[in-house]
Amino acid sequence: MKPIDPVKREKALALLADTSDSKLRTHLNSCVRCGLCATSCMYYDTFHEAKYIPAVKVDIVASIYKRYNTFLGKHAPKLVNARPLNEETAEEMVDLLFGSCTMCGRCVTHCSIGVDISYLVHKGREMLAEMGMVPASLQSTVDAAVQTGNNMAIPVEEYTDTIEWMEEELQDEVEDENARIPLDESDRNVFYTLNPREPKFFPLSIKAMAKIFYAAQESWTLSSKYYDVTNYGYFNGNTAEATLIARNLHDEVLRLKGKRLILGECGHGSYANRWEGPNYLGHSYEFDMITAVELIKEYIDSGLIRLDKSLNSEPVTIHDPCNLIRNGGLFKTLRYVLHASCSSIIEMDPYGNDNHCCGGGGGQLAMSEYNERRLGIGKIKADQIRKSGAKIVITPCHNCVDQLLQLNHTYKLNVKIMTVAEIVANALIL
Amino acid sequence: MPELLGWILGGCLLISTLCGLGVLIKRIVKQELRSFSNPDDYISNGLTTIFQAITALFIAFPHLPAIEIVYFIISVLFLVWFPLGKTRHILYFFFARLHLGYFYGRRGTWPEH
Repeated sequence: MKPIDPVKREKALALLADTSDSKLRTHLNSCVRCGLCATSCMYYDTFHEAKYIPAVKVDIVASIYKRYNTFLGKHAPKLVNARPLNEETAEEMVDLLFGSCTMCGRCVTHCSIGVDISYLVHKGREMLAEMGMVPASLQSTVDAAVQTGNNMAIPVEEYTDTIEWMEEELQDEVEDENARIPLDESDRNVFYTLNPREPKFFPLSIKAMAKIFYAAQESWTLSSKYYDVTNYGYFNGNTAEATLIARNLHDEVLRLKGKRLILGECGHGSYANRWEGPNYLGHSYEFDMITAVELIKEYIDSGLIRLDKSLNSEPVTIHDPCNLIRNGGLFKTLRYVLHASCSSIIEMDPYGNDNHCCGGGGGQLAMSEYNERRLGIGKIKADQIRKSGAKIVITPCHNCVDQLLQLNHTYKLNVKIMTVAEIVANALIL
Repeated sequence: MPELLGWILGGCLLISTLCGLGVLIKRIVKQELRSFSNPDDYISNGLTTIFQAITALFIAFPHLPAIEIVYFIISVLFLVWFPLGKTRHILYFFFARLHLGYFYGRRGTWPEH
């Protein structure tokens, strides 16, 4: 391993020395290493190794904090396991904080003290980002978003072709030549965003959402440049890059004078924009910002769309994306929409705020270095799905969709994976 | 101190002493927990447990020989270690819950809505 640049190392250490961050100080000083968080973690539950216990992940960050910021850490480091930030520690951090955590936050809700473990994992990732130690595959995803405006580096022409193709498909489906998927239109009520996986691999989900907008007679638009709802800058720990990505989307909404930013079906994208965006930019957003699931609920409530749930009669189960449910508060909203759209819902165990991650969160899907681990921990979710007996798994997150598709194939679940827009579009009465 | 209050306080301290002892034994016995424990874990746990036990003893039997001086020494050790070791979580705990409540409350996760 190459030596850490001393200047970068100092910048990384400065992140832990910030006395103005009350949340950071609190959580760094709160863990008692009781180990009760162990069985909350999919990595520990799958591999049964002590290094995967969330407290160990907290401890590696806290041990560095102690080494440079506490009396005993400076003068009697062995007494409190205070560790220097050197190559060995940094390498361990990469494995634990990038390679062994989906930042799902399940351990946080189970912690008897209330330590925000995900927050400390993110802080550790920030330190690694300062030292240029982000896994290459994750960094390339962020680089693509920074350089091209979307994390899959889809050229504008390819994207617009896909949108036009979906518009034609929509017109055929609703038998109306005036049905549209608007691009770059100003002064629309809704500025809609996509996960780049949609135009790249799953364009039918764009058509599904367009059909809902059509049914609701919504005034909406997509952008051809900044439509990407994701923000992998949140996962790689590089705040400057996360800020740039968030700002691009924010500024595009202002440029097109969108009244509401609707966050497409993406867990971390919704989290990074809705909860972290104003922090990145240093001010509240000038426009309303909600998720697609909340918008659909509004449409149902206001009677703008009507649904016939008998059109979705196969048994379905719901995968709750961590960043939308436990870390986003949409548990009941999602149930409301799906109970209005499907006639048979079977919940997994556990579900809702206590759900298990799909295994692809925390940027895991973008880090091919840890593919084997990711699919390994996914067995917990695969077993949950199999046990539910459902034929369809619905989730409002394209990241989760991707992981669930891989689990479906790996563990031979023989289920269909759908987004919320797809299942709602299927139940629309036009 | 009124006698009844003394017995209640002593009883509570006895229960927490037993809990502290249980946690300490668990840490010593369970290999996995031991693997990521450090001296501070044992010192903090031990000191807090002894402090509670001696306080309970002092309340129940204040006239035991040398109890005062032993209580004084244990209390000093406990209070000196408090800000240095992980015992400080006793103070940070409340702020951790505050931050946690703010995080999940703002999002509407707790309470569910």
